[in-house]
Amino acid sequence: MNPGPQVVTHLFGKSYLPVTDTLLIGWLSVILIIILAKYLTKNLKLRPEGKQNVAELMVTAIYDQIEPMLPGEGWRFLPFIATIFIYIGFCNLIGFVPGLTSPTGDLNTTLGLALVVFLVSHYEGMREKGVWGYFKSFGQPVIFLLPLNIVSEFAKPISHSFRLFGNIVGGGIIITLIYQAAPGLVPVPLHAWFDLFIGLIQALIFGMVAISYISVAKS
Amino acid sequence: MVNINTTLLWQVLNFLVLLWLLKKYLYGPIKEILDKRENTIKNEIAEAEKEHAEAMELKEEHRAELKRAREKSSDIVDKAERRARERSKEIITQAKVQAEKVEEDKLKEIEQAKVEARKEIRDDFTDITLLAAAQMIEKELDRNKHEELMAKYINQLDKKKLGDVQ
Repeated sequence: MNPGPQVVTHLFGKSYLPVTDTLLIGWLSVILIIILAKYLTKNLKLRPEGKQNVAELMVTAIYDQIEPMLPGEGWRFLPFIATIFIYIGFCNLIGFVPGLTSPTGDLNTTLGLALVVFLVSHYEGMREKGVWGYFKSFGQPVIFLLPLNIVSEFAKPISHSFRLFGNIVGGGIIITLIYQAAPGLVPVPLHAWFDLFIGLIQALIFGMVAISYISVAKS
Repeated sequence: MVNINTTLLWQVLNFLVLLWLLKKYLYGPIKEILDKRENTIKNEIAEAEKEHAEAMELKEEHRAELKRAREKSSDIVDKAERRARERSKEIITQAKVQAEKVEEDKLKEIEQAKVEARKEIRDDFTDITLLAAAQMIEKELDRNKHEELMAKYINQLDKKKLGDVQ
């Protein structure tokens, strides 16, 4: 069974700077994503062909998700939301490679990203309504809902991060169990299901939820 | 298994670095090329509309020119026809005039011939009359009388024909 993130080494030999396998695979993912992005956007032409179509389709598909929920601000939020999609999607898929575990199977990754979304959504809310106006909105529609609203705000990053974490870890646990119960070819389609399908769906959900949190904070 | 540590901060940093790098290498260039394409297409549509309008204008112009040319050509044909008609009329008139002149000349010639013929006839008649008269007179007049008459006659002739020479 996946034993969870392991400390591999310590950065600069300091015991308070542990480097886990999550972090190493996270770095690997970042490097691979950048190499892929550079490859896809090499030699862009007005008439797209081949790999340029892939890059454009990816960016415009994400843009099409953002624009209806944050009208007129699609391009402003695109880098943030698209990076969530791409990073989480890639981190989920990398678990498909034997010997590598998904960084999203570590709560540190998902909670970190959920906290970034949390901060961005509150910042956008304040930017839209002003600091006081934004805090006042927690007392609406009636003032006694204020504690509930505050609790629900803090519940957001938790549910946001645990949803992804739980899906990935759960998938991993099930596959490990199947490996022990029925080795051979049986776990192969399950890999496809849990790593490819659930992985991409969860990345999409994480991104869509991030958009909706920002959208809710702004409205 | 669930253990929150510095990895969280590292992952946030990873995410932010990736965000920055992707902005530079993916979103930026893609947005740029999309905008460029949009602008190009917009410009091309505007250009095409402009060219279409120009083409329509040219077409209109050509139509007007064609109409003008047709009018001009029919004008030229009309003029040529008119000129031809005038010319034919002129030719006919000239021919008539010439014919009249020829007729007149011929009439004059005929008149002349008539006069000459009349004169000839008169001359011949005079001669015959003279001869007849001479024959009659020869019987009744003597020689002297005859010579006298002859002289008189010759004198008259001379007077008639030679005029001032005498």
